[in-house]
Parts: sequence; structure tokens; C-alpha cells
Amino acid sequence: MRYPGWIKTVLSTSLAVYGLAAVVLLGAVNYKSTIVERLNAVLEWGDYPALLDAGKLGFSERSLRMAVRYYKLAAEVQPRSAQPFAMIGYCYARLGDEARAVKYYREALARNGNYFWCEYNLGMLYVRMKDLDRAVSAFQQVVSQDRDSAMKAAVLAPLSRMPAGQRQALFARAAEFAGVIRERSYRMIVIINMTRQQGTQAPELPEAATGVVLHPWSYIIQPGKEMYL
Amino acid sequence: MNAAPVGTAGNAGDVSGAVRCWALVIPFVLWLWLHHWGAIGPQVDNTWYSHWIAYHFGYLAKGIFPLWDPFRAWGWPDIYDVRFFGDLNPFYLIVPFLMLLHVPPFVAFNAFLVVLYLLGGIGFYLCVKTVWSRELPALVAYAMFMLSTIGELLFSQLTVMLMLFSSVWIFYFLAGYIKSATAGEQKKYFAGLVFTLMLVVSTYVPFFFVVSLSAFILAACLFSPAVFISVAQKTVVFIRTFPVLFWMGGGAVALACLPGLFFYLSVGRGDIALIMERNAFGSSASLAVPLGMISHSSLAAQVSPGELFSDQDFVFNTFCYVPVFLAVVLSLGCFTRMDARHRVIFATGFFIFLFALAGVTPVHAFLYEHVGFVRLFRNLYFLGPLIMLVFAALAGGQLQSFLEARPAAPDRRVWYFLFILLVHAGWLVFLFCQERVLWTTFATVIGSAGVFALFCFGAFDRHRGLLCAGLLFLAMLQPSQVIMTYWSVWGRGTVDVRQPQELPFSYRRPFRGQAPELEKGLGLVPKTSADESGFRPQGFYGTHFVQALYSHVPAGDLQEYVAHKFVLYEQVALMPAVNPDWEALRQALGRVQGPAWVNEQKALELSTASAAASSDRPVIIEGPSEAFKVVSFDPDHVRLVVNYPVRKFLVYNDSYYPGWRVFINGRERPLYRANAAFKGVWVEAGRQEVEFRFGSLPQYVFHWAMVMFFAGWGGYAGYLLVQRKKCDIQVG
Repeated sequence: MRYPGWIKTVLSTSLAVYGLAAVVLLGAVNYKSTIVERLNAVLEWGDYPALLDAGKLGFSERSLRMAVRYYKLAAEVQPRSAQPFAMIGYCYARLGDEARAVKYYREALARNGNYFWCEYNLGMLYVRMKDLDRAVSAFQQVVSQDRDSAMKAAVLAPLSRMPAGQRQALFARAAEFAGVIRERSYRMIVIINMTRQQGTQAPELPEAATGVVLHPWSYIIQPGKEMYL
Repeated sequence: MNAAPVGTAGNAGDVSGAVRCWALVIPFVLWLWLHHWGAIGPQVDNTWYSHWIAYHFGYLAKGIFPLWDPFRAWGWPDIYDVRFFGDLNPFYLIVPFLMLLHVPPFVAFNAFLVVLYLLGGIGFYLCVKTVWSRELPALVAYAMFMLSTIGELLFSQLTVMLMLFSSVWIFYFLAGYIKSATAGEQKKYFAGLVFTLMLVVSTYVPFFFVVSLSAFILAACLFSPAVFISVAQKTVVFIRTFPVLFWMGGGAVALACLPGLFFYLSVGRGDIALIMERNAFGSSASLAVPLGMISHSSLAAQVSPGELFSDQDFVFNTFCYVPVFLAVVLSLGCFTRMDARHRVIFATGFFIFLFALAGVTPVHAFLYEHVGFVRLFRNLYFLGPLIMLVFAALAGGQLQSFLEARPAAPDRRVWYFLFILLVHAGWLVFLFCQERVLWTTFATVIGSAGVFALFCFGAFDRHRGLLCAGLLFLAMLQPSQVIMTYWSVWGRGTVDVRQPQELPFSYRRPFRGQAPELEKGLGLVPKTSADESGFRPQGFYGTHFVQALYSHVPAGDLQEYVAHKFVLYEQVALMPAVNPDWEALRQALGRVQGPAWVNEQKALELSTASAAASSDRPVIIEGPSEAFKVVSFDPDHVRLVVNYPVRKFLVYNDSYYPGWRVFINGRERPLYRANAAFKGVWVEAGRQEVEFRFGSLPQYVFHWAMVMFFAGWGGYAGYLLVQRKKCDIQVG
């Protein structure tokens, strides 16, 4: 059988060889296990979620970047979950990359509107970025939410696979946390309004006062163990 | 893109000698400057390697070949660490040479790395030049080598450097051997091939090399099977012309395999036990690595596709990225014709890549089951830089093809120009969609579009050197920024350059936590800094006697006992070799009290005679005294003077192992296994000179002969490589 000359020409080009290689790769690679392997590899360098949970993660650039790696991989495993995106936002905020932090917090809120601590952190980031209108709006979102139903939607529902005792303990911790950030949001609205009345552009707050807060849990996925989300 | 080549296309890859010279020098100088700017300092595993090498070659410079390692795991044969770096490599002789000139060991080690890297770069340049028979692709590929992923790994993973250096030269000699027309030329390449193979097989990296060689052979079988017939024919002629050299070369490679083979057999027999967590089959005598552990260190686990082009302002120490210029060049060549050489090179890289992905494809799992050596190594991400090299070599060829594909007639170059624009625009759009892309990445793509557009319209036709300079600049631009950011994130090395390579003897062995200032990295005490207790629950290694003791007696009970190097007893008691009473031993060692336990009846004879004067409390040596003093020490021997009024049973808490002998006043005496894992000997009353010695004359002769043999063969291969005289013996 004779093939037309152009077929032979096309098949002899690099593009045909690259294409064949791409097809082999797509057929051979199990993409999901790739992510799990990468998660395992990142956790070998440090149990970043546990360290974050315990408040022991040194906020050096290197460790925060490693944590970002972990949560980005987790976001690939759980693309519908808000938590990994919120954690990436948190890490970027700690890294001082406000624009990227805002982007990821927005991604998290798009997946779960009940994540009021994301709203709070967003508000804090807007304060840092001197965008007071958006900051007030974000803090008002925190204040206006029905705390109990938001807590149920944000904590209990996504963690339905977690053992009941552990889940209740986490819920209690999150509830306490929610109370604190709601109070802080009130304070921030008052401070911003007072600042505006005095005619200044933006409140000059110490770093500690505009710091983002960590979410009530940091584990997204523990390879080889249970997946809670 | 298959249009007729331009008038100058025939020499599109040729550049002048001056340009070639500068093109080789500039990337290296730039690389050195970038690293100096970032403060060179060994990272991760290289910190250990620098210690090991300084230690090993420090003793070698004094004429002592360290056969025993008394500083780790309560003493064990020095055959494990040396497999990592390959102690027979003559390039290491740079280290003791510089140390003899009072250069600090750390600086000497870095100098060795730099020399090796430059030689590796030159080897890569020669290899690519041999394959493509052109200068320009070789120079561009060299620039990519010098300032790409591999440059960053230089100061973190010596293993990768050794693998790359050897592989590059092996493939250069192999390509030269295949292409050479005369047996005289073949001789030059054959000698080099033998030498580089000797370097590879004498370390633990041959597995990585075997993977790349197998991938190459498979690719050649698929796309260029005729090459095997050609090589076979040439080899037959070569054997007829140089039979002695051929068989000597084969013998040399076989000889170079011996240290690795001895190590393999030693572990297989159970003489030494390796890290338990590494063991796949529950037996400490196995070298096999569990499949899961291999997968964790695969390329798939360490490198994310998204990070190949972005996030390079934070580069992981195991990272691998694609220099954007390489990707652009490969894209430009995508409509050029791929000949057999291109296909073999591409397929080689692709097969290695499939293997390095480990658990996420069925390839590695299949080979793990059916090919024995695949079980013996992990850290498959080490293959990443090698894959990058293969694709850099391919990019050189693709660049050449693309340059030669420029239509001769200016009016037909519009499509060529539009294709250039399309490819670069595509890359710019792709990069805009990525996060955290370095500005030099965009600059490289834009600059590349400019250089290729100018080439399209003939701006370089009379100035080939300018084209070469432009391409080299583009190849180096982005990697330079990556190197700078790499060092800004990972910081400078923290090794104390004044650290001595030789250790004084200490009567007390510090255990973990006692010398925190000396514990670095993952908690290992550097070999040249202090003794180590051997307590490594997560990663035990040692002689099999030590392993037995360690697994039956809790670490807490052993800790105080093993802290003392010498203990003198007055009584000994028999403990059967089979089913020993571990509880009795635990109590005796935990309280550091007598008697000493031996497993030979003969050792009891003298004990009975002195039993009347015995006490439960042995003499523990805390330091030198009138009664006990160590007078000389090196890894293979310790000599002491003992002076007690009564006969004592001296236990030297260093592992009992075949090959150790003891001499008292120059006469050999029986050496007993004492307290399950250590060395014991009866010492008479009065002043006695006791010497423990490891190794025999044949062992020393063998090791020194191997060092000289490697250096000799390396010198011979180097001489053949640089000599210009051509032999005129024609093939056939």
C-alpha cells in the first residue's frame, strides 16, 4: 500500500513524534496518583499542615512556600473544596503577596460562601492594600452572617467523614474562633469609619492588628490516611 | 519548513575559533560569578559528601587507606559511604593535593566540584558536536548545560554531578567510537569509554547510568538498528587490531566492579545490616528498596508540570525546570524533519522520563518486578537533569534544522517569519497564564523572537558570530536569574571551613543530644566532627552483631555502656552463640557491671584463674592515665599501653568483625567477641602494649593498586584524547 507523500512528510516531522509521545504519556500516566505522590513528597520535607495547626511553622519564606506547594496539590485533589484555596491565601498573605492572597481567598469564597474567616482575612488584606470600601464590605459580611448556620455549613458539612468526636472538638474550636473574628470585624469597621471621619486615607494600624488569622484546621489531605474533605 | 536551505545553510552551524573559545568561556565565567555572588556553600547531601571526602582523602594523603570506619555505628567496614562517591575516581585526588597545600577541605571539595562541572560541560559540548557535526548547536547546548538545572544541583547533590559527568563522557566516547573511521581513532574513544565506565561502576550511580544506556539502546533498536551492525563490524576490526587493549579494557571494567560487588555480597551474606526502613523484604541483609519509597522519590513526586515554567523564584532543592529558550527552540523545530539521530535522542530522553515517573506509569512497576537491579535504587528524580541534558542535545539539533530550513529566496521567507511569530506569541500567551513567571522568561521569549526574525531576514548572514552570541545570551538569560533567586532562597552554606579532616581519638563516644552543635542536617553527626552512638531507630546500620544487640537490648540500656570505648573486666562468662541470654546481657550492660560475656569456651580458661580477685565493677576508661593510654590511632588500628597489677579482660567497644586482629607486645593473641558485638582480649598483668589492627596486606595492596590503576588508566585515556596524532589504520 502506498501512502501519499504528504503523509510521509508529516509523519517525519518533529510534531508527529512529539504528538505520539504525548499520546503515550496520556495513556500511561495515572494523573491522580501523581498528585498523591507529590503530596507525599512534600510532606516528607515537613508536616506543614500539622505545623501550621500547632502554630509551629516558622514563617520563613521557604517553609511558607513549601506549604503553598502542599495546598496547591491539595487543591488539585479537592478542587471543589474551599479549604485548600483559603490556606494558599493565608500563606501568600504571610508571604506579603496581598494580591495573590486576595485572589485565592476569593477562590475559596466562590466555593463556600460560609467561609467567614476568609471574608475577615480579605478585609484585613484590603486594609493593608488601603482599599477601605472593600475592607468594610468584607467585615460587614462577617458581622452579618448567622454564625451558627455558617459554622454548620463551613465546618460540619465539609467534614462529614471525620469521626464524630474529633468533629465536635473542631467545631467547638471553630466556634470560639468565629466569635473572636466577629468581634474583631466590628472593631475594624469602627476604626475605619473613625479614620474616615478624621479625613485620613487609611488607618495606620500596627502589623499585628492587620494580621490575617489562621483557619481552625489546616489538614486537607493526609496521604495514606483519611481524607476529611 | 522543508524548503531549500539558504546559501550559507551548509555552514549554518559553524562559527569561528575565537567565537567558539569565548562561547565556551563566557558561560563558565558567568556561572562561577553567579555562584560566587550567591556565596558558594554545600547544601543538603553535599555537606556530608564534603566531610566524607575530606576524611577519606585526608587519610589517603597520609598513606592510610581507611578500611574500617570507627566513627559510626560503633564501627563497621568502610565500604558503604565510599560507594556513594566512588573513592577510586582519580579526580578526587584534587582534594588531598589542595589539602596538602593547606587549602581548607571544604574549599578543596568545592574546587573539585567546579573542575568536574567544567569538564562535564566540555564533555557535553564535544558530545553534541560529535552527534550533530556542527559548532553552533554544541555551543548553545553547552550554554544550556552550564546554566541550567544542573548548575544548582552541583552544590546539593554530588551523586547527580558524578552521574552526569560520567554519562556525558561515556556518550561522547560512544558517539565518537560509532562515528570514527579508523581503528586509531577508535582506540582513543575506547580507552575513554573504559575509563568512564570504570568511574560509573565504582560508585552507586551505575544504576542510573544503566537506565540511560538501556533507554539509548532501546531507542537505537527502534530507530536506527543498522548502527548495531556497524558497531559490531568496527569492533571486530578493533579487536583484531588492538586485541591486548580490548581485553585489558574489558578486564579493567570488570575489576572496577569488584568493590561494588564485594559490598553487594557483604550485605547479601548479612555481614552488615543497612537501614531497616529502606528494606523491602523485612530482612536487613537486603539492599532492595520498597516500591513505595521509590515512588516518593520519583520525578512525578518531585516535579510538578506547572512548575516547569513558573514559580522559579522559589526553587526546591530537588527541582527541575525547563529553560524557556530550550522549549522555544524545540517548538521552532517542530515542523522540521526528524532524522534517525533526532529520533534516537528524543526517544532516549522520553524512555528515561517514563522510567523516572516511577509509580504513576506501569513501566517502572513492571521493571521492578522483572529486572533485578531496578529494586536497588531510589531517588529517580536524579534522572531529571539527565533528561534535560538529552533534550538540550536535541534542541541543538532542532536549532540547526530550523536554521537550515530558512527558504533561500527572500520573498518566500514570509511564512518562515510568521511561523517564528506564531511560536513566540504562543509561548508568551502560555507564560502569561502561569503564576510567578520570572521577568527574564518573558525577556527571553521576546528576545528570541527578535533574534530569529533578524536571522529570517538575513541580518546575520555576514556575521555568524553575532548570531551565536545572540543565541548564547538567550540561552543564559533566564537561568542566570534562576540561579540568583535559588541562592537568595536557600542561602549560603554553613559548613565550618576550618573543620579538620582528621579526628583525634576520644575515650568517650558522644551520643545524640550530647553534641548538638555538631549535629547537622537530618541529625547525623558529620563523620569528621565526632563519633556517633549509632542510635538511629529510624535508620539503623552496622555489623550484624551490632544489629542483633541493638534489636534485643533497648537503646536506653545500651546508651551508657557504649559511651565508653574501653572497659576492663576481671571475669568473663559464657554466653551461647545460639539463643543468648539477652536479659542477662541487658542487665550487665545497663548497669555497666561484670562479667564480660563471651561466646567461646577458650576465653573462660583465664577467667577462672583470676576469679578469686574479681569484683563486679569493671574498670571504665574515662581518659588517659598511668594504667591505660592510647598511644596511636587511625581508622584501621588503635595501639594502647596497659599497666595493671592483675590480668584483665579488655573490651574495646568497637564492633567485632572478621579481619580484626589483636597483638600484645607484638605477638598475635586470640580476639574474642565480647558482650555480643564488641572486641575482647585477655591482657596480662604488668605493662603491655596492645594493638588492634584491621585489614591484611593483600587488602591494602588491592586498594592501593586500584587507586593507582584508575589514575593510570585515566591518564592514558586523557593522553589519547588530547594527542593530535592520528593513526592511519583504516577500518576494514
